[in-house]
Amino acid sequence: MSKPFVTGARRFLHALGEGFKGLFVAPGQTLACILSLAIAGSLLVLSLSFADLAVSMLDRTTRNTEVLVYLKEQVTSKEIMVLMDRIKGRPDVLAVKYLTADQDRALNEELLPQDIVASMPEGSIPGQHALNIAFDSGTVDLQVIEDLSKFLKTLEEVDIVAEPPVGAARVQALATVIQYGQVIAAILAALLLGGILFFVVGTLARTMDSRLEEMAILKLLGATDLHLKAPLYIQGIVQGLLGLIAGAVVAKVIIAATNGYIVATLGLMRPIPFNQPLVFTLAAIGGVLVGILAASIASLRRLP
Amino acid sequence: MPLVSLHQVHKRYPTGTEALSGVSFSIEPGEFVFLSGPSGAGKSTLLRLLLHMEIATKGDVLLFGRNLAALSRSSVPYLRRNIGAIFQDFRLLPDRTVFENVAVGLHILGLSRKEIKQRVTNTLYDLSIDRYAQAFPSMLSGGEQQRVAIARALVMHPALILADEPTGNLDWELSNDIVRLFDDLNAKGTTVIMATHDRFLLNAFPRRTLLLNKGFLIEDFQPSQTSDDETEEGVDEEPEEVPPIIQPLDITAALRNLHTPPPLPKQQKIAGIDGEEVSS
Repeated sequence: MSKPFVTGARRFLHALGEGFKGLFVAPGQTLACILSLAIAGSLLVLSLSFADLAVSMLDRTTRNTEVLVYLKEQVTSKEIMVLMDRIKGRPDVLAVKYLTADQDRALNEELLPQDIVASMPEGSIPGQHALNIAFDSGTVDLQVIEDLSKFLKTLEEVDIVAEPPVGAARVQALATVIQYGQVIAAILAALLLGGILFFVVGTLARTMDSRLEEMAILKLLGATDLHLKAPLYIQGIVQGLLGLIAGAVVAKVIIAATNGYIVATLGLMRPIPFNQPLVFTLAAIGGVLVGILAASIASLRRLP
Repeated sequence: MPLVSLHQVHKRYPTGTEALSGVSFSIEPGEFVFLSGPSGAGKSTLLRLLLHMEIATKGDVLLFGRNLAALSRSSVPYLRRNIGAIFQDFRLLPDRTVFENVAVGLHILGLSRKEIKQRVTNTLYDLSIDRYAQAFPSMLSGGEQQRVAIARALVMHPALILADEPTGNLDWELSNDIVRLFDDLNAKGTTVIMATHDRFLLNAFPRRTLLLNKGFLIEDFQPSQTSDDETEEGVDEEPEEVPPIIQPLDITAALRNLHTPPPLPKQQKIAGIDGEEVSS
């Protein structure tokens, strides 16, 4: 190995040691910084993940626009085929599917929590043969669905028409509001992180204050600015990394616990999204950036 | 080529204080030079100029053949690695051991732990303070603390030692020891510039002396070793009345003899090497 590399590595290791020592200059303040970063980081991840779930579920509600048409028991398969053809010819209808009574019963079972289904006597869940009409989710006009619904109710073969989602437009509006809320939550969390950044700056400045005499001596002995700043940058990066990665871990634990609860208790099959590699990568990058930024501000203010 | 060379150097602080006025001299490698004069004479400012802690307002300061005014900011640390700076107040880190205090600068050079240990141990041994390696500065006497400060400078193997009143906080005996130490280093080839206003020391160690007053270099002289008692340099006991080797200098007369002395301010405030203001 070349000599400059070896000396550079030794200098880096020394700065690393000094940076870690800096964490213990004001241990209470350092811990408070790490905790604040962890709380802000976990809040950011949780707000984005929960909002993602809410938006995706609402989106799904509005997108999966379906109408169930329950048929009278005596309707024959030939009559059903004719009816299906008539419906398929309507605008915006994507598909028409026939459900047997057993298939309908199975769908009803899925909607109920499993422990309730298990406790019910066999055959107590109703099932009726029906037609499932799906619409083009992107283009469907609610008026079209309502018109079709009215039309179906006039037909002799039809027993009941399950109403199309009432107020789908409101649901869509709610999803939009949540999406805006998601953006606002992200901005607030970023501002919180910004506030905590200055808290980190304060901790680093305190470390610098405690080392002012040492830095003045080092300067006279021939230390470059990089020698003096390196431990500070390392201290800032360590604080940033510890805080934000701890935040990601906390968020992961909360989401895992919540997912367990909603799947087991509510029977909801769609868990809260948590993209682990993405979240931890962003936490690491964020931690490094917070550290670099805080150390730059602190060294601008305090370096002798 | 002189190691240090000043040509018509002026230094005026933003407060308007003229700390140095037209100072010119040069110092050859291997010389031992005292900077003397009363408080506020400009000794500390001169040392600060050599350490590149200040820039001359006018004139040229050349160190190791390089004009300090033209030196880039990034080159200053490398220049300082050739200078051992020693101060009156020792400037030791109270929460570090003697060993750590001495080793503090060696990490800058990127030396290995083994090299650092070897260099520090040798230096502490040379200065007879090796037994205090694991002690903290507060456990040492003033003289021992100053030796630690000297060790910290010497461990970097500097070509030039700049000492600003290094004996200012020490009693006579310890001061004598410290200057003897510098003398030994000088004998090994290190150039030493030591600021002091201690006339006893100047008498005990007759070396080239630059006498400053109110920013003017008023004398540059090499005292001769006169008495038999002084063939062996330094004295073991503080003299009750030290016969001055340097002739008592009439500062007013000296100033009168300057060719064209600029008007002197009534009171000068000169920033000392520690950054504090010193009233003259």
